[in-house]
Amino acid sequence: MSEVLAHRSRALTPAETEELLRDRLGDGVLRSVVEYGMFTLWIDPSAWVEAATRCRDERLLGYDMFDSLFGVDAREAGFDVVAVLYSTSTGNRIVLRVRCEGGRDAPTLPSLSEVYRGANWMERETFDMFGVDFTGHPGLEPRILTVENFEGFPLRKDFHLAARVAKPWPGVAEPVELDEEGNVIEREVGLGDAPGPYELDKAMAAQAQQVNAPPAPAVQPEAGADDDDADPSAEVTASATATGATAGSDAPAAQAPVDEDRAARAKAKADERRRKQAEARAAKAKARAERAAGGEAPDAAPPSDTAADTTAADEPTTSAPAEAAPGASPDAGPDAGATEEASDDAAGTDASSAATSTPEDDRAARAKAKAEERRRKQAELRAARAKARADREDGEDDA
Amino acid sequence: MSDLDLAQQVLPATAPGEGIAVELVGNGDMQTADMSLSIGEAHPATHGVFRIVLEMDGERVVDAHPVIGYMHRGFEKLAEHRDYRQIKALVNRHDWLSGFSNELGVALVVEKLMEFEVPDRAQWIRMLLAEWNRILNHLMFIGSYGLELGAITPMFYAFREREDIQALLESATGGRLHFTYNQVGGLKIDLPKGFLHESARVSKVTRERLPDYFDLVLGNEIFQARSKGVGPLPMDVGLSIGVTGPTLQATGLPEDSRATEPYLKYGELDVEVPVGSNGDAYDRFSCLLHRIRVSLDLIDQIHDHIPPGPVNSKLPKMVKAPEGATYVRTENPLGQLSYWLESDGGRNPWRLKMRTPSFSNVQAIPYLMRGQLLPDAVSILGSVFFVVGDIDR
Amino acid sequence: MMLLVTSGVAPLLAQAESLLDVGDSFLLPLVLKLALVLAVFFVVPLVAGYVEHKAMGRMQHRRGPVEAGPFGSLQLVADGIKFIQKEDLIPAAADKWVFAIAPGVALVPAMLVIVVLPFGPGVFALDLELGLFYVLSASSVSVLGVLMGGWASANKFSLFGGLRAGAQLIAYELPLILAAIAVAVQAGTLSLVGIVEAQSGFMLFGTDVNVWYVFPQLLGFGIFFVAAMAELSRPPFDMPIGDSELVFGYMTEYSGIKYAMYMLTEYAGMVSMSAIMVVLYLGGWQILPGVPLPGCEVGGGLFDCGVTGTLLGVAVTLAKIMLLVFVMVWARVTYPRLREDQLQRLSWLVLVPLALVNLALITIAKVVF
Repeated sequence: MSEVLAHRSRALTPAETEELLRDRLGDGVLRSVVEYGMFTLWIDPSAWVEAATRCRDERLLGYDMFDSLFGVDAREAGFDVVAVLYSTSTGNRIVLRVRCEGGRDAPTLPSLSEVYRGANWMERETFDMFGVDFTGHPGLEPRILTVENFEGFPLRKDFHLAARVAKPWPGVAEPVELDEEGNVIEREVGLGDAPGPYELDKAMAAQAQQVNAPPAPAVQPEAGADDDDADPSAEVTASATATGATAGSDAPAAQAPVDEDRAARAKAKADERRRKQAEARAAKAKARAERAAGGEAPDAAPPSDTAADTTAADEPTTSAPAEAAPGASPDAGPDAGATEEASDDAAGTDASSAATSTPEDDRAARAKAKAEERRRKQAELRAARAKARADREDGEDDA
Repeated sequence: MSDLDLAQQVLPATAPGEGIAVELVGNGDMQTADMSLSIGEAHPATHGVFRIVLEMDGERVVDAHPVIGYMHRGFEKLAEHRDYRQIKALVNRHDWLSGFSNELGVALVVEKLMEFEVPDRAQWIRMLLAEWNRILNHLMFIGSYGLELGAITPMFYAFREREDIQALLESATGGRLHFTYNQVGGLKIDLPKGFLHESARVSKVTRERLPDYFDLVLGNEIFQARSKGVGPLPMDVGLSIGVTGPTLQATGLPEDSRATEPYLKYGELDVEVPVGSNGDAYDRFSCLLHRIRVSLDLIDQIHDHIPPGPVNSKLPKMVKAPEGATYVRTENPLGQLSYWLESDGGRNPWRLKMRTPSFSNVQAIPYLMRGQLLPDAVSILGSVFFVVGDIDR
Repeated sequence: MMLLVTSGVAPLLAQAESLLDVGDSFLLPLVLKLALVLAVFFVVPLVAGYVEHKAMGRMQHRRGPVEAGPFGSLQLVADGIKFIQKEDLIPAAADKWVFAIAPGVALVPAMLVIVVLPFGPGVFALDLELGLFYVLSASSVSVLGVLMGGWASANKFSLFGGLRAGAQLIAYELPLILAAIAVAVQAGTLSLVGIVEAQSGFMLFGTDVNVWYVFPQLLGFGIFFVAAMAELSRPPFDMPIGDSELVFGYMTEYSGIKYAMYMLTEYAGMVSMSAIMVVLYLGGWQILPGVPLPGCEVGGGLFDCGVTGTLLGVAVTLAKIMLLVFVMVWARVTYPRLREDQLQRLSWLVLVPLALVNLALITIAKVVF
């Protein structure tokens, strides 16, 4: 039975530890960071094994327990590997951090499996998750956590979480999409970000424009997502076309003679509906402005609810003629959802604008205008899809 | 006549790759072949999907290769796409027998990075529930280790105890397995009225039933014959691998986060750390059993210490951690659970590394199994306490 | 085999007359005896199984089966029906014929043993002069069935189980036989009915107290009990099954009726071993040493009992059998299983020497007293 913390009295401070290691490793120690109760030493890759060995063997350091070793994505610079060591006799913990050589393409680092037995599996996991090649490791393959024939390295930031690409969160249920007042924020899609719902909408809108194009032999959109594509929006577009809009992909193929009557009828209905909505919106806006001038806040919510109801109520009627198409329900679903939240957002912004004082009105008006623009575009998209469905039906009837 | 000559005389000559390869192993007179036995994913001995491929010479294990990853669910990747409130529902589930302790770890690491103050009452209640969770976890392993050896009864007794404790925790948190009671900055809501009274009662009842385990299991002659001297782990090997928890304490080192690196308010309590002497299966089990008693003692101490006050602090609407990284170590029932949280100032973690105890404990299994007989190998498998979800995350 | 025994060989070796030797014809007693053996074989193990379920349940803080039949008494019947209607799976790589008949090879000897076991005054199929010898040798044949099952399954776990079973069952034959021989020496006969008879007149050495053989031979009784449990692969000696290591040992690949046959072998073995112990050590159908059964006139209150006497005798025997079965269940619930080498060590280094000592002591005592 031995004692833990037997040498706690002679535990070195971070500064002393750094000095000792600099003395032993020279230029191997790059810099040290003490933050949030943790002492990190940045080590040069060439001195990585030496540093760990010294930590273990130096009498004053005595880091006998191997805590963990893992990778961290360091954006463009490549990957970092972090090793945490603990000393049971002094109670010190040290974090050794190294930036792997080879950048993002071929990261590599010497292995610590000779120094600490526990590094064996930890390095296998880091290889599995990040693709860091540990030289001198007894056997990085077969892959430890993923399937043996898995392609890609999951924890890299450019490896997109497949679930988020295939189906985004409906609406903005995700708090990360809202700012402090609860407005939806437009984000720059950076490295490692999952695409938000609006990227998909944009993608669908872009693809709808292709559908609307005059019947020249349209380029068939790429079916099937390409995982190595670093550009998330392009990938999203590709996958969206593969998964979501089956009706759209059929349209260019079915170059059947357009039934003028049916298309004209659908167009007329869509125009009528849009007009009605614009009228309703204008009336509501007027009522709201009056109320805001009168200083009443609480009634802002119900009219927007009714606005949502009316838009939702209009939905089934427009979808009715195209009901026969099998693609109707999945398309109507996200549409209804999208319009719901669009109108809810408008309600939200309206409510907030009604609650706050008048100088905010121009922001509210701008937000409202944006929301209306979005709604109009969606209505157009729906009309286009209805038309496409009608086209396809006719194509089937003829064939 | 050399062994090789004997083999060539008795067997017809086979070309390499043809027929069955027979190697002379051990005693040169008997010709035996090494066999590869896969204690596969769906085996009664491995609780969960965990596979070990054993190379056997008769009944003796020559080498063992654990194959993990069947339950890999990508928690670390999922955590990068959730905000700081949502990750605690994820981490409940990697060591599903210690849900509260996992959430506690992740709440602590987020609070450390945000430098958030947690009210005292919340800290004490967290300790109370963490100790109950520890007892739940240990009771499960007491039952299941007996089952590995063929003792079918301790399982039922352990589950009887677990039912009482789970009902207690359900009254406070609403869950029996996954609690989701911790929150960044404290607890979700306060304890229900009468909880401490009930907790004292369950503690008394559990303490009364504890001698049954000492007599029926630890004192059982056949149990001792099956576990003493089986799979001894030397201390330095254990430290080098990174083994923690009862497995390490059995080797003789009283390394326990609650005692050596106190978190929450463990520094104000008297934490006893039971140790073994030679790190064999009997010592590991004995440490586990004694830890239950220690946890009951701690619970009784905590009952006297809980101050009145709020249990959580108001969080901002957006829980954002500043840029930086930190590392928090807690004592999970199975060993040391640590979280490394690195943030880039946003709403999601940039990297949440879960250093789980089972991953390191299982890494010791090949070392322990080499040279043992098959029943002993199974005994070792049961005595290195692990939960498969904890290994694979 | 039974036909052969009861018809041809029987007149040469039989001693006491069974109750079922009615009439002069040859056929009626044969049918009655067959009925007795089959009834005992199919009913009493089910009762033993019921005792196991309920007792084990209560010891584990639960109730055991309560649904099938009143108080769950028909649970094993339901299990039997379930097994019969299951799909019969034979692994593709298995040795088909050996795989198919292995459970039968294990089961039939268990049935054969019941032929000579007395369950009451005159309630037996046959009383062979070599009864004890026949019982011990017939029960050893089951080992072959286990080995065949383990080998033919084409499964590494089954192979392990079969080999372990072979080693274990051979190892524990010896203490079993040595302990039984001590009783035979004491009684002066190998006939089972004769042993019961001898116990009714047995006085403890140098005293006038009539006791059963369990008292002077407590050590032998203990050895026989332990060896019997090991012969049956009952926990704590169930290494061949070892369900936390070997999935289910030699029975891993068996399903449906074949599996039921193996399980029936185990329970029928429990019953027959318990019955043998009752006969050898616990005085057979006597209520207490020195207390004759009511209604029995001839043979010191042992034979020719009236209806009540016979039924009471059968009830007493069955009660004693169930008591021993209960002790076996109790041992199962309490102990984990012994490792194979510990098991072997127990047999060769502990039980065999003790059994020899027991035999020596009994022989000396027999001569002296």
